[in-house]
Amino acid sequence: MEKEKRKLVLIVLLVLSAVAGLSRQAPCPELPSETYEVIALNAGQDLRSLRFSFPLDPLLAEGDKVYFLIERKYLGAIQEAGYTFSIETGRFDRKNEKNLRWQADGQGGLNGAYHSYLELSAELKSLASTYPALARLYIPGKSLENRNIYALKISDRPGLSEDEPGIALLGAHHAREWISVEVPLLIGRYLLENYDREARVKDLVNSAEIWIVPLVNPDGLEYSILNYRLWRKNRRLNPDGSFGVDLNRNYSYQWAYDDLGSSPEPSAAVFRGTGPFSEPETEAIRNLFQNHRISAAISYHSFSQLILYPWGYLDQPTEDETLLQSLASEMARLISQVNGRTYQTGRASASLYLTNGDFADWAYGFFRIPAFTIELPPVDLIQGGFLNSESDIELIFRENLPAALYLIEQTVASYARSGVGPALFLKREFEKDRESVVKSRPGAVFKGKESR
Amino acid sequence: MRKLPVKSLLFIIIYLINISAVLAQTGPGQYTEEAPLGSWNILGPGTAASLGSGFCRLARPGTLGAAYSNPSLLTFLPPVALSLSCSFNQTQLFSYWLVNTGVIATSGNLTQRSWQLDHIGLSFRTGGWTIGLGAALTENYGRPGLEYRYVYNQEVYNQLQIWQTGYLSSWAITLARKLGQKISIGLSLVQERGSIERSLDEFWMQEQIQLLDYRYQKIRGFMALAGMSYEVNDRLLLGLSFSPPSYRKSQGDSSLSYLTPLEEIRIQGKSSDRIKRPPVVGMGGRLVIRPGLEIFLDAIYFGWKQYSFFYFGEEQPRNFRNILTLAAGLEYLGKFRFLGRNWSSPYFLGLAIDPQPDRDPGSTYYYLTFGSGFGNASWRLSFSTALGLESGSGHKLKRQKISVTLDFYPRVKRLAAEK
Repeated sequence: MEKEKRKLVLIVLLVLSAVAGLSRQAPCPELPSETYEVIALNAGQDLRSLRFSFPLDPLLAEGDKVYFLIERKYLGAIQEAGYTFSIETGRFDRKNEKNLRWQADGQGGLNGAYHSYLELSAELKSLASTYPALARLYIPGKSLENRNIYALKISDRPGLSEDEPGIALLGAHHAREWISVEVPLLIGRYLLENYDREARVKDLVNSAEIWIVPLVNPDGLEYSILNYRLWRKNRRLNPDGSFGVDLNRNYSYQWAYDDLGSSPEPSAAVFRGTGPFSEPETEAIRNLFQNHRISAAISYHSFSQLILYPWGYLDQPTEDETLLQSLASEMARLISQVNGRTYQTGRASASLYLTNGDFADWAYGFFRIPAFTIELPPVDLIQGGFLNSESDIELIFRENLPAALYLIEQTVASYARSGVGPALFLKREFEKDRESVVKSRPGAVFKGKESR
Repeated sequence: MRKLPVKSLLFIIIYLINISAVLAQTGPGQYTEEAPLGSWNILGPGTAASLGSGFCRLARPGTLGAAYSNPSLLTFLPPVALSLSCSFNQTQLFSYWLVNTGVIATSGNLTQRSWQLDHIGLSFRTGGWTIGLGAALTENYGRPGLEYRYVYNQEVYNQLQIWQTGYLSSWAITLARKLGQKISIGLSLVQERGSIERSLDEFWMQEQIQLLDYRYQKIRGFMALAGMSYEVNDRLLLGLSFSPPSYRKSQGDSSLSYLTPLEEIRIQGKSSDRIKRPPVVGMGGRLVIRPGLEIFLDAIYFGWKQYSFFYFGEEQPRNFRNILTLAAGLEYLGKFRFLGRNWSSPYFLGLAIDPQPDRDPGSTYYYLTFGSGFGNASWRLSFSTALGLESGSGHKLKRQKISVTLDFYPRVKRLAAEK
């Protein structure tokens, strides 16, 4: 019942978002916060009628509440129309978000300048409310412990599903890789903050839908902060009493291909789960990919300084090895240009180790999109391993930014070349337990592959 | 009057058997580091008399520990009273911190043992007022320390050590007064001071890498407790107790370090946090069946849904439910002559049900308590034990507490219990 209610709210939100996007003539990057309020309404109210009566901008659905941005002058009229709402501007206020950041940065919580789940939530909400015309926050799923898995969509009409390629930047499949939360988050923030300042950023945001999913494994991250810094998996209580499934071995493509690239042992660090997508966190990512036209993806990890591409499950080249290698090499070159740091490139199985059921194999295997795993610095355990100093966050983000922009650019260019119109979009069918791509993915760099 | 304390000897024998046989005890809700050992539901220190009779204390005169549960009962004490209590505790735990939550697995429950001075108190009467002063160790946050070693090719490859200690002491000042013949009221103001300290050190010998995670929290709090007792008639006494929600403040310092021959990464933090404690309402009764034989009943409500816990700047989710604890106890006071003097010897028996606030896992501790003692008009020594068995978590956790209390009644001719 609760699930259905949530679904309904999401559907209403999507519809409202689409209407809001259609009705907007020109993007408005920043709205003067003095004249706007964020209000929260109970999802049980007739939000559809409300949306048609007032210029509401849906921001977020969370629990049984839906948050909207609205000009202050309409508040009285909404109240008169019989709606009850609470003003939640403070919750999304940039000032509040700064306080949280300050607490983490200046006072130094347990995680220092790194984001905890709550700090990340506040930051993403703040970005969505500060840039309502460019960003919208979605929740494609929840974790085992009921935390939201956030996806911040950045585009010129974020409420609309436009004829544009999607690029997903994912972080923190693995709990201990704190830096992998920061890089996609900072890339998202950079795109929003520089939309009006940099023509290149504006062009990319206008012609693509960029999905920032900085924290795939929120439960694991919290455990890593509160209990054990080197925790890797999610927080599944396994039948044998051990904890955790390795989310980056839980995707369906070649899941459990062998016991080298993942483990059937629940207590193992690379336990693949009891079945493909057995974990709600990976299911959330599947939802995101099923419901949006993602055409390229990077999954950030640490450590090793590597740019990896499929296959991970098998030491064999994909049919697109040349292209994948060329994209990876260019990304590595761009990274190196920033500060001279070298990222090695290569096929995942050959460059690191065998992995089956991982995100990149799934994204490429099923959707035929370029999907990369970027292992962020440092290069080895002696130089920090899974830990990076707080001062490294900015450096690592800066060096990865050009590579991410390059991939977005290439995806947009490829999409434009493919010449596929909106009518042919999303000709894919998904079954409950397995995906099957019935048509090539428009906008992907690769063309004409059937699903396996 | 009997000549020999036969029952006392019997109890002592049972004690000796019991101490050697039971080596593990309760560990409620130990998934969080702020959980007190033994039980979340704490209303002051346990003294031997109340512990032995099922933890009943709300309508149980004669103990200075009442300053922390129903301060009005201090009016029933002799004009001057002194009390000293200490205990031996064995608390069993299964999951806490990183033990049995995914990092370190144990083959069974672990036991935390401690000796502690539970309570020291003084009360005296001046005019119509009874004034009480007390210091108590009310909460213990210790956890069994562990060391794990991974040996490969006869060499230690990885070593992990963890430990956690901590306590909360409560300093009370009490004012109590009789209002007429039947009603007494009392108020205690309690200052709380304590700390939690925990450390994790991990070493990778081959690579010469160390991971050090250290946290220290200094806790300060204040709470008020009001109590009332009403003597319905010569046989029935009712006691009421109320403590509104209170706050504790915690100043935290943390240091996470990763040290290698090439790198030194440190994340250091400070925090100022707040812990909201639940309101507590209790009601108890004492019924005198016949001279020397009394029964006690207590019901205490803890509003745990109001509990909130901030930890290093962030509120931590605690899925708590409100709790009602129930206790029933019995005391029989035997009398005998020994060395030409009159002595009394109480015998305690009790049962208690102590559900824990955590919903997941929902668990309840069932206690059997018993005890005894002896004394004369000037002093009394009591000793009791509580045996607890947990149900609900699937781990059958056990707890044992042995409490010894020495009460002095200077210049008092008759024992308080011989009213």
